[in-house]
Amino acid sequence: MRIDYWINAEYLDETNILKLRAQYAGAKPFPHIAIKGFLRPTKARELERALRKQQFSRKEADLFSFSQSADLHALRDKTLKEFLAVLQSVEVTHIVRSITGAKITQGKADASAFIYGPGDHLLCHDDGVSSRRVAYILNLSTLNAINGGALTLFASKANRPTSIAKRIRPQRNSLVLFGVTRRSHHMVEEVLSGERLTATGWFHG
Amino acid sequence: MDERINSFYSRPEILNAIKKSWKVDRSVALAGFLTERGLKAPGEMDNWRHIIIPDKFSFEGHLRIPEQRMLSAFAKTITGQTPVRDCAKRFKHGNYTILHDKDVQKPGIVALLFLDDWDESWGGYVAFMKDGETLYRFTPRRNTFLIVERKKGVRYFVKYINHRAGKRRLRIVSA
Repeated sequence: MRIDYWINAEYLDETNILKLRAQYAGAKPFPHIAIKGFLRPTKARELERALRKQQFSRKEADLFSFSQSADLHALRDKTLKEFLAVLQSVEVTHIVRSITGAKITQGKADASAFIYGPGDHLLCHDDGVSSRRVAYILNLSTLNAINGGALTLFASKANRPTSIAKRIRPQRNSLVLFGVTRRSHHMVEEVLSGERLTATGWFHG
Repeated sequence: MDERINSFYSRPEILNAIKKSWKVDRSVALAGFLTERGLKAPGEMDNWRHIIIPDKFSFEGHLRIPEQRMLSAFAKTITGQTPVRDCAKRFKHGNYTILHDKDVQKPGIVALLFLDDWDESWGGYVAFMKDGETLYRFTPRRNTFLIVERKKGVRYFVKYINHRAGKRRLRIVSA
């Protein structure tokens, strides 16, 4: 597997990575970044096709309603295996470490795919589970304001969420990264129409 | 028996049957609980106040509940315990309650009067959970009085109301 077949060459360039680092660190309400066109377009399409062939199970609780694939580690599809290898590669680990400054361990990234249809949502939470260092969301569909489904970030006071400070609308092949901290409160707003497909997980420390 | 309660529920044989059922199931849902006159006051409550803590809940609350004492007394007749007090809540599109890790709901009796008919596809159902498992789930029906025993570790939430509910409101009066 060649990393330059998967990652947009722009993001393998150290100068550009440094620019992204500055953008990430200065973002409000907490450090985050949405990297447009992260994968090479052909690979993004290939990944989307591979994910859409998988089985998704309905999940519903107080916090969420959505459909989720199995952990990508458990799947046999060649494209998905390559995608996992990309996430766990030295190069992507370097990119994520350089942008976020987080101490993530190479080879420790997990991933599942999620489909949010109309009515689906994920309410406000902070992702705070021990080894999670950086959350990532690779968007594989595009939704406009009228469709809902935005990732929303909350401002906080004394580590408690107060109000929505930023909406990031899903844009196909954009990679969102944010550090998992006690103030990284976020939610996925209800999808009103259309479908939100993502590959999502965490880089662990 | 209070005249605002459907006279059906004042009949001794009915009360005994409810108590018997309670002893076994530790939950009862009593349909057509109040008379139309009894429903008038809670149905006309206004001045609801939006209350939100994003990672815990979002709804409109009301502290003055005209029928609270009567509901509480009836629940005590059935269960032998005074229900846990809470404010009245009104839910609309985008509202919810979440089981937050750090919140403990004390064991006791939960007694809720539902003022509106509801469709489960709109969200808004009430689920009682323990250790991630659903013990009991109730879809609101107008004028139904739900009494549930909440044992240690059991918590309940009102599911997020989605856009399919349109402009409808779900009102829940706690005893």
